[in-house]
Amino acid sequence: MLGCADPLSSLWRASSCRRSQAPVAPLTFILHAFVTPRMCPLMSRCLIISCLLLAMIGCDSQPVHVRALPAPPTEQPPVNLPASLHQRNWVGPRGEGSCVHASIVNHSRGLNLYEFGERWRATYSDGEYDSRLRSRLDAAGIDYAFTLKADPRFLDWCSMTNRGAILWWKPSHCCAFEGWVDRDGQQYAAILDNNSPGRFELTPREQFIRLWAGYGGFALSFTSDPAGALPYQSYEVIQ
Amino acid sequence: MTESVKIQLSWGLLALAAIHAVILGFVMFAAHPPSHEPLREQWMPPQSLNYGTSVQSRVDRLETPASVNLNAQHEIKRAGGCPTCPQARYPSIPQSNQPLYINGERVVHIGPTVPIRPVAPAPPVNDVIPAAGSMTMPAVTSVADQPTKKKYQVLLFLDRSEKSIQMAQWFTDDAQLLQLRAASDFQVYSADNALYRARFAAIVPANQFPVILFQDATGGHIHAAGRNMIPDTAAELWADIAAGELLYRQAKSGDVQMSGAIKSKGYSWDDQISPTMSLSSADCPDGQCPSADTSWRPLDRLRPNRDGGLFDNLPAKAFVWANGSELATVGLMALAACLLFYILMKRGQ
Repeated sequence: MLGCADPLSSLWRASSCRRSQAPVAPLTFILHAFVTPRMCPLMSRCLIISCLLLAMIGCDSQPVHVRALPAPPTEQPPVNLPASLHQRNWVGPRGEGSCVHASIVNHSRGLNLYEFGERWRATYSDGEYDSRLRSRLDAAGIDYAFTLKADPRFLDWCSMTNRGAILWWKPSHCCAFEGWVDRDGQQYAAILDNNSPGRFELTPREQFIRLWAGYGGFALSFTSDPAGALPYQSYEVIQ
Repeated sequence: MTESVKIQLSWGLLALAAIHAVILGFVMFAAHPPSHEPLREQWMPPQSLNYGTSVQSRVDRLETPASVNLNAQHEIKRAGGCPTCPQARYPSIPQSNQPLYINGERVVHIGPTVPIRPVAPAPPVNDVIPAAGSMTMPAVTSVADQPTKKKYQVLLFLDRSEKSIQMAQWFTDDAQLLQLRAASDFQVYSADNALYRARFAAIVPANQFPVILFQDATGGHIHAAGRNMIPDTAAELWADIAAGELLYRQAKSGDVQMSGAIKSKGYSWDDQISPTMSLSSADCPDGQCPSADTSWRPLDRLRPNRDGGLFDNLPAKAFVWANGSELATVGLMALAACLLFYILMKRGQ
């Protein structure tokens, strides 16, 4: 370090031929630092590093700026099955209504299992009860979740995950639950009744839970992935 | 050596840095001129949606029972009570040995003890149609588990093209895309899919197939690519998706810039860059336009996502969270400061 005690002086000595002239521009010293062999190694290293650092400045790519776009209102009900895909109830060979099977078809269509729903519709009809329904779904290799206790958390899960469910609703009847709907600060159950396709019927949550228990409290939902929300552009790139 | 000359040397170094920065600014401005080219005709999701809701406004009021009715729970549900409904009778299983065909599909007779064997549609010769619901992709959910709400959705819109078949195969064979699929709600649509025709046809036209949509649970797009924007390899597709996810998070955090030892890759929206726009209150619903994240503070950076490790494999192991330019500038300033300090110390002696 003693040898480099005055590195700037060594630079000055290297350009001593110009000492009598007007003070040399500061930049000249930098140039001389590279050409004089007597320059202190430490100073030369510092200047080399400085030049390398200078060369690195600005090498990064241009930053990208993006802007979030406003999101549309949440779709309601969560399983907004188009009216053209609503399956109407039908009478089976034994003269019984096929509401359970119609609800299964509606539930399948809401989960983009249209072909499965068609096969089910062509295979089963007339009345149905919960245990035989589950055994038939087991035979078909369908994964499902269900409740027998009118557990509102089950319907909360069905709504939150955009799956919906089928459930016992109204006397001796089965309908499709399409999720919770928020309206005017209150929560309603949206029901697709296969006897009245083309619309969703709303019932306040508390009343719905009590009624559902009275009708048996059974609900069932497939665990396959939901159909997917309608896409919208959520951000854009700006210059 | 006079002190003034020594000090001039240090000031000269700083002046050189400033001149270099100014020159770089001019060079970058010249190299990245504002684009005046019209946007190419490429598909992108709409910015607003019109839901065809049929939610009835009338609220039903029915009687209130006390508790779970176990008798009603196990009874046969066979309500057909719709006197005005047509007495539709769907074709029953024939008694003869002739197989039943519906819409070109053979229906297997189902009895109380015969298990259902789902019949996949027979593909045309030399053609594979990835029809929705009939793709033999491995299941990723357990029977016993009740799946939680997933943060992401992956929608594939496929046709009979080779690119469609290839893309569908990526989500079966590629480890990263398979992991993405497991972490997302995954659906496949074709042009003849009933749900596609009823819900998505107006948004994702069939002439843009194949299309991949990677979106959040509300439908907000994260990465969208159609037809020519679909890359040639699964790795490139994954990189595009990861880049889109980065921009998505950047937008949601108020355009907080990503910085650090990360190389940003080009993404499918490169050609979709729109001219500089500004949102007025008339452009936004209820006159409320999105505003920047007020929680952002200077020097805040957008860190790599640690969300379940899905995008955690990005090369983001920076020792110092600053980019190359910032490090070089800081280094240069430190060096100049050291030199200046040294000169002043010598001057004091």
